[in-house]
Amino acid sequence: MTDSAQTDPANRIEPIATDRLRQACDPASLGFATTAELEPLEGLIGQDRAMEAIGLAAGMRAADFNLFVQGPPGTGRRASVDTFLSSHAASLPEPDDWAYVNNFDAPHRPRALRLPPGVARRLKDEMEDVVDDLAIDIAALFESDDYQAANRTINEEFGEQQEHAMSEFGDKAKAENVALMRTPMGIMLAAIKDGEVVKTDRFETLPEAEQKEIEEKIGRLQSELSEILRNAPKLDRERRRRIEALNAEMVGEVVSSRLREARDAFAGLDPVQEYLATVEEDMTGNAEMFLAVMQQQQQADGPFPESVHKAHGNPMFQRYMVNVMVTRGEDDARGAPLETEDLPTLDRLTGRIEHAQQMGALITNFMMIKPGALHRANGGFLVLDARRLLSEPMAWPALKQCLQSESITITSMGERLSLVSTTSLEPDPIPMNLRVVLIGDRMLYALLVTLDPDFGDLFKLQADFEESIERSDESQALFARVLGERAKRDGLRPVSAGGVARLLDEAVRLAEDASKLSLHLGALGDLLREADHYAEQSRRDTIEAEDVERTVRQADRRASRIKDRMREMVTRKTILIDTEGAQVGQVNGLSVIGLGGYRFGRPARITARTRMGSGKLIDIEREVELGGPLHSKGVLILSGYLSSTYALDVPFSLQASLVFEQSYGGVDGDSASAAELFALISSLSGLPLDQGFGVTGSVNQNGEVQAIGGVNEKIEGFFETCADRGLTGRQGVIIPAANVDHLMLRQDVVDAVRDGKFRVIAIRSIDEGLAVLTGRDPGARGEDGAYPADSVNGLAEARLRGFAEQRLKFAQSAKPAEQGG
Amino acid sequence: MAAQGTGHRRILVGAGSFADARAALAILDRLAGFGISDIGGLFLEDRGMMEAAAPRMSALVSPRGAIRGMPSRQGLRLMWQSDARAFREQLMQLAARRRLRWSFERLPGDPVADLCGAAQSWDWLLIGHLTSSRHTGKVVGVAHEDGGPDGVADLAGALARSLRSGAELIPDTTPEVDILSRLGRLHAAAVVIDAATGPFRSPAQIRALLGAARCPVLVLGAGRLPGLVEHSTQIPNPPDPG
Repeated sequence: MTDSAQTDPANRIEPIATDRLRQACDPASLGFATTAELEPLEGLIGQDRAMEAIGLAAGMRAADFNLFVQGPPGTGRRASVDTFLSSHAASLPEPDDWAYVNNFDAPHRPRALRLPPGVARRLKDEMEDVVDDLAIDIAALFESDDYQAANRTINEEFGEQQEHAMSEFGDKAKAENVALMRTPMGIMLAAIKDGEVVKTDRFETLPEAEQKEIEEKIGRLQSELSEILRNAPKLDRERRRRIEALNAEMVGEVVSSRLREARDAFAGLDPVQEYLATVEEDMTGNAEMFLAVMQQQQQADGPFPESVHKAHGNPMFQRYMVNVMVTRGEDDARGAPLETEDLPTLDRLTGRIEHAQQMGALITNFMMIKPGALHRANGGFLVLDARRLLSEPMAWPALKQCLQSESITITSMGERLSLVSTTSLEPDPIPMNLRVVLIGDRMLYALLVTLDPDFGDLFKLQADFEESIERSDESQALFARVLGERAKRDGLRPVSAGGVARLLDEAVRLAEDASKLSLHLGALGDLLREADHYAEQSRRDTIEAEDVERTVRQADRRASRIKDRMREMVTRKTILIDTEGAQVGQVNGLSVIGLGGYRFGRPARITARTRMGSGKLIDIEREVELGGPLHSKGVLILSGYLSSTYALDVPFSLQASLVFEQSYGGVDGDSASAAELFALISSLSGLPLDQGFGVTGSVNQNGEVQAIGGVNEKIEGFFETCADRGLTGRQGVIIPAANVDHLMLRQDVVDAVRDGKFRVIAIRSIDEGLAVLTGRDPGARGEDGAYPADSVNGLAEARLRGFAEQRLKFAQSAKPAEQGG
Repeated sequence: MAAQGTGHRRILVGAGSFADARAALAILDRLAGFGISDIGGLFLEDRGMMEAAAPRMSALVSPRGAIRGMPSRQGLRLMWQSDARAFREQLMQLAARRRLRWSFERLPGDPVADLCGAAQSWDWLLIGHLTSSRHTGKVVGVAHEDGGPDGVADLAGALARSLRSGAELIPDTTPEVDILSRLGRLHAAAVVIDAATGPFRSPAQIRALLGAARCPVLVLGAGRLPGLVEHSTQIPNPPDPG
């Protein structure tokens, strides 16, 4: 053992200075007493990139420049999108109205009418009035004397034509001594002789010539009668056509007169004029319908006067109604629409075609077409939650289809899946011109970009919300104004400078970086509201630092039941954690457990065992499938480090096992890989590790210690364990040097460090960590290429070389036996 | 006499086929409001037809003009049976709908002469005859020129209104041949006559009237028609006026 190895190398690595453990904001530096003095700052800070993208999406008119707003919840994504787009939408022109009307030629394909804003509702009202008026006017027409007379004349004319033919035929038959007898099958012609119908037996007695004459006569008259009777349907058809022509002429006058008023009311609107022309044609052709409905209504209503009848409510007249899909009311906001759909199902998105049950069958018509969010947002903006949209069956494909075709097509789920076969409609697609804004997290964006080839074409813009901003005096001042505005907007008390400083400290902690401020304003807003509650309880006019502190403590207390139970188990040694002494092949790793928004750190004992073998490193967590892929990767890196660091001239003859003791859940991440390597080297070298330290950090094959996440929680978790056992002043946490900038520790930890009761040590390499944990020089290779014999590395290498030699001997002794055998 | 909803009027509907009966029942349905209390149906099978039905000496044409072969006697019987059943069924339904008493009988006999005989115990007689057209024709009344007490004019008018058709009155002073000639050229939904006061009183006259009009004929004062057959026990006697 050399002198240098006998000194305390751990003391050569200084603990991190107290002021770097918690870089708290100084209230005095803020320059105000309360936020009431500050000018409110509306909107967001630090989101310039995202807001520029939103602005571009709002301004671009190209169809495929839709926007995906990505970022974690609580960064103000939704609110900023709503605020920006609503003000922008107000400056845009109002979109046109859309309505569906009957297609009289093909009722299963309703026609879409594009109308100027506000006209659809007027047209709907007008058509209801038209039907109501005509139901009365046409019924009166049919009852009128002039119509009845004209109708009767036609009926009589045609009736008499047929009767005349029959009468003449009757006279002729009579003249030729042929009787017309009525039978269940029709008219029988029979010969008459001497005033009586000739019966069979008498016919046989007649002379052959007379028989032939009768036969000829009967046959001829039969043909004539057949011709007359066959002509009857033809005459009837002709009569019907004349009646229809009469109806068309007389009803046409009434309909034209009423529809002329409607046309005048919508003068200059070509779609309406064309539609009214088809209505006129149909009404004229179906005039009897008005009569029938009015008769039904009169029978049903009894003494009610005609004036109270509203014929448009009758299902038979639905064919003339107008189904308004989108219109702008007097009270609606001006400008383009900004719609959000919180439940973006297929039906709610693209609209739906409803069905009604009638006599056991499902029927529908154009009046049962219901608009969706795309209809309502047409001409403006539609904001959707991406996760909800993607979780609704068929909603995403339908939205893409509409965006690609730039039209809204209503297709039900049943049709899309070909599950149901019932009467349905194929309404005219409605041209679509809107900007879709999807709001989601980054993972969704990445998945969509990767897996959906259409996504990039349709959503060309992304607004990526930052999670944090650089911490500076300027950004802190802006943050203070945002907090003041939020307090004011939510009706809370002003926040004192101390309160703001404490909130800024929390923003730093949320950012997990002392040089950043978190932009998770939602979480800070929650803190602010709760702090206001405590300020009220304390009868204060402002929210002070202690209110914020109490809020943080209370939030921690509410969520810390599991953490407390775990601490209790460690204290009672149910979970074995040493915080004193030294052990070979054993180290305190640190892990973070997250439950919802709450995270806490806790120590976990990691042990390593080594023996001669064939170079196999067993990760017990992986073997039992409790270790995740990142953990496995970390362990394999250890193998690479060991094999490339020690005993390079002999085969790697180690068999080692690693385990997280008393860990029964999954383990993932590589933040324990440094701790695992310390345990392995300790086991190899036989040197004990100081159990007063908790260790975190990942390691690469070069032995460099790399940054990890959750450093504050890990330090605090080990601190609590030590505090429960009693702080000795020799305890502490070893962290990667790269994590020092992320430190924003609780004040009680900082105080303990300041008082010399606890240490936080930053390391850059495994050797530095070995020095701290073993208290011995790790050793570096000398000119001869060997580590000092009593250094940590020297002892580890000697052990590995010993394994190799042992293995060689074993192989040589085994060979003769094989040959002999 | 034609006033609606009064009295206990009994009406006999007769026909030799269901097609004729159906035309009569359509008229009867409209008449149900005219104080009718009993309706009777009489289906008459003209068996003389069987003797005349032979290929060379007779021929058959369906109502739609199709030339048909003469049915066998068995076939004719089956058709009568089927038509009678359908006639009875519809009569029964109408009676149920209008809450009327009803009776029905199927007899062999001449569809006009024997019907007139059977109608003596009834107030009105309605003789069925299929009309030549589906659309409704006029209701023709053969009535006193001055309206008279027979009620034919009133009934014809009311029936025409009910059918949403027109009515035409032919004065009963018109020569019979002219009446028949006029009727022969008129498309009528029904003809209304009064056997007690009008010119058509005998079965032969009524047969001629039916042949000319080719539509149901409503005979008022049916009790005054000369009887040829006794009414069946199945046809109830007229109610006791007392």
